[in-house]
Amino acid sequence: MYDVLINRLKSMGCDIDGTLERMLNDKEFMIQCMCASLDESEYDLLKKALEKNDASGAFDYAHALKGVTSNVGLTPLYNCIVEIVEPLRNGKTDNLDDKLCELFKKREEIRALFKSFNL
Amino acid sequence: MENIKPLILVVEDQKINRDILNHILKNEYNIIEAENGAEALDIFSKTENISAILLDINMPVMDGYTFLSEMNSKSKASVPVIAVTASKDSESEQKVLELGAWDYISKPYIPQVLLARLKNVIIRTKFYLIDKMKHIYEHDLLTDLYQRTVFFSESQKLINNNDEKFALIRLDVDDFHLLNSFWGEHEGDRFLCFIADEIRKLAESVYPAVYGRINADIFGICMPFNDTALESIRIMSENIRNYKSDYLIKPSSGIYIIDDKSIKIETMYEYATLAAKDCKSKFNENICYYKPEMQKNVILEQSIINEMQSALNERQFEVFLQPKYNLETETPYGAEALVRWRHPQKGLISPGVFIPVFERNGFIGKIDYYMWESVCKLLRQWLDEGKNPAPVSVNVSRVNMYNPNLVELFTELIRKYNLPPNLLNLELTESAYMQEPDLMKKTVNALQNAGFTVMMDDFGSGYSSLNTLKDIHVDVLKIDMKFLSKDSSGERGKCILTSMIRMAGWLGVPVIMEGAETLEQINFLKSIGCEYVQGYYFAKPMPVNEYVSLVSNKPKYVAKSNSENHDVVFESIWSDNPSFNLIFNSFKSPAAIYEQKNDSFRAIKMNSSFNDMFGFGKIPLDSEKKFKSLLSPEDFEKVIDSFRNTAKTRNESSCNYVVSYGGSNFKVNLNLQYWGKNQKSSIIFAVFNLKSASNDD
Repeated sequence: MYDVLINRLKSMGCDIDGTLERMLNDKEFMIQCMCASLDESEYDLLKKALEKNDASGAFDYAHALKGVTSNVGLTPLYNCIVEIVEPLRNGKTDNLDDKLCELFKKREEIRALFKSFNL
Repeated sequence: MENIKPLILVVEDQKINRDILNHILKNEYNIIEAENGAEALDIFSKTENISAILLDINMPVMDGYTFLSEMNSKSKASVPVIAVTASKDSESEQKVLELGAWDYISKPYIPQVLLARLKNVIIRTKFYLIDKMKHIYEHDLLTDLYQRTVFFSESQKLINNNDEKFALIRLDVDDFHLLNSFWGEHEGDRFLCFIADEIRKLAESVYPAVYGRINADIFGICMPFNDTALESIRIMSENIRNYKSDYLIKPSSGIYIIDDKSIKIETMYEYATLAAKDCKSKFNENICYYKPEMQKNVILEQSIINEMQSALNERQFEVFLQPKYNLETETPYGAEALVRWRHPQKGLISPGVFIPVFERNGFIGKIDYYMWESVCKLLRQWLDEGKNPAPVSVNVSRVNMYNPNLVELFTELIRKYNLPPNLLNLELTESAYMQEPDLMKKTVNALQNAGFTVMMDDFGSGYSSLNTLKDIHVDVLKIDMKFLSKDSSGERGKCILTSMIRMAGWLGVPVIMEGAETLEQINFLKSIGCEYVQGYYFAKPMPVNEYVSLVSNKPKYVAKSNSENHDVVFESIWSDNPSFNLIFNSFKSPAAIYEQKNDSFRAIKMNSSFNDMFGFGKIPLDSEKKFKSLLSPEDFEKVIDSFRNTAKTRNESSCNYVVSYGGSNFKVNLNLQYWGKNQKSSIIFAVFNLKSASNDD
């Protein structure tokens, strides 16, 4: 079952090899972590901070998500986050809406994938 | 035994990240988790055995940077921190290293890298800790100098690896415990650190040197030895001495100059210790060198201690007697009993060798009693043989003087041997009087009441002699001429001895002068009116049989003073007879009692008015010599004639003379009365009637 899901994730661009290595080849643990990471509160907190133009708060949340997404190997999300983190590091909050929308869209895509596997 | 895994503190706000780290580390490590810096600090302060910390940087509440700064301010710097930074963030990497992190990794975690780095830092910590523990083991905690064993081993290496001449020095401060109690321990410790710094300075100037703290206030230095080095030691001693000017600080440096490198370093240290002890006995010496005889003394002292009890049991200690001589008749009268140790192998051992040892270890108390009983037996034997022995004095050591049963011990002894107490005289040293004056006063009184004659031994050697005399009424004073050793032939020494004899005369206390060795000294003692002497000039301490033949070959001459043949007069003059003193002192005019002998005269007692008027040291008309220096030749002749006439006619005569006093001339009418006579001297009573010459004019 995991192998099908893992292949799908790989085809979406996730770093399965690196992550499996990190998880000491524990596929179940990797999937659990990936799944749980989608529910991290930082996603919503980042959105709210950007709505309030709070660059510093937004940076912290984005930075945390950058670390998490890289660790769990969700590369599509990680790539979006990196594009948000860097302007925020310099205190810039403008023109981030599109990138945030894309981040949320990709998160939902991955979540839908997990749901289709009843996870 | 269960293999205990090292404990890692994971500081990370994201639960998923913590879970992943946990997953990576759990096989090799135990994990304790903290969600932020503040929680981590709390755990860190409460947990002893954390091997390493994995620290995220961006965290709520307290970030990783703050945690690092806070942690560095605590003393657990030996726990390594690996910071976890976001990838490609060289700025944060630099910052965490500056704040004291040992290493960093970036997200996403690469398990092999993480585990390898974690392992590395833990190994490095172990080396760090081993290094630190080695330092702690090798160094003294207070001064950070080498501790004893390391000092010894490093000194040994230094000596072995260098060809120069080295010395081992043992430095300490006399009575440091007293300074410590004056100042308190904290200040005492500061002083020790000061000494350590002085030693460091010394070592820098005499490179190569090794130094350490042996224990307490004792330090050791091993360094090349030459004139410069000695000068440096002097400077160091001086600096230590001047640490606090209002305290007497005396550093003692014992130096062993290493001439035989094969000797064990611990033995060299013992040699330096012997030299330092020598230093302590010398007030003005801060630096003393080891001499081989010091080592011999230690061995000798130990052999004395080993053998003393069996020697006592086997009666190896012998009574020697040193006769006391009447100077007038030059015949022996009584003796002092002195102990000698006749060792079966070593022969006769001098008391100078074993007495100080016995005094230190208290065995002198037993030797004392042994001597007392031996002397009592001897006196009993003489009495049984029909002899009429003169008194023999025994020594009472300090340890026995504080014995509350002392009086009973003596009274039991004379009861046991059925002796009259006046035959056993007791010599007590002056120094003991000073330490416990009240107790001594009671003991002396009790001994006197029991009929014993109490002599104060070594009078003049203590610093409060005069006060002692005022308070404690002893029967005889013994003065050791040696206390004036350097100056006894000089004028000052003579003045002091003369005054002491004179003072004892006023107090009615006879004097026995000890240590008279030359004819010159004997003649001098005669000239100042000394009555008894004990010393090598007449006789050394001798075995009992020699003493017996000495006293039996000479006519017995029981002497009390040089005027004893007119006992009544003498008793009145010298005793503490209150009615005589009252009459004598109630004379309004200055009056004095002179003894005239061989055409010379000297005062032996003056009344209060004499002292008030002339004052001792003002115009002491106490001898013909003084008269001669103050009077005109004509007047002096008149005075001399009057004395001669009085003695010759055994009657009364008078003369007038003029003397200068306080800028005025006084006309004096001197009235002389004959009081008594023996073979060689006459007692003459003199009254001085003074009139100021200016009044007269």
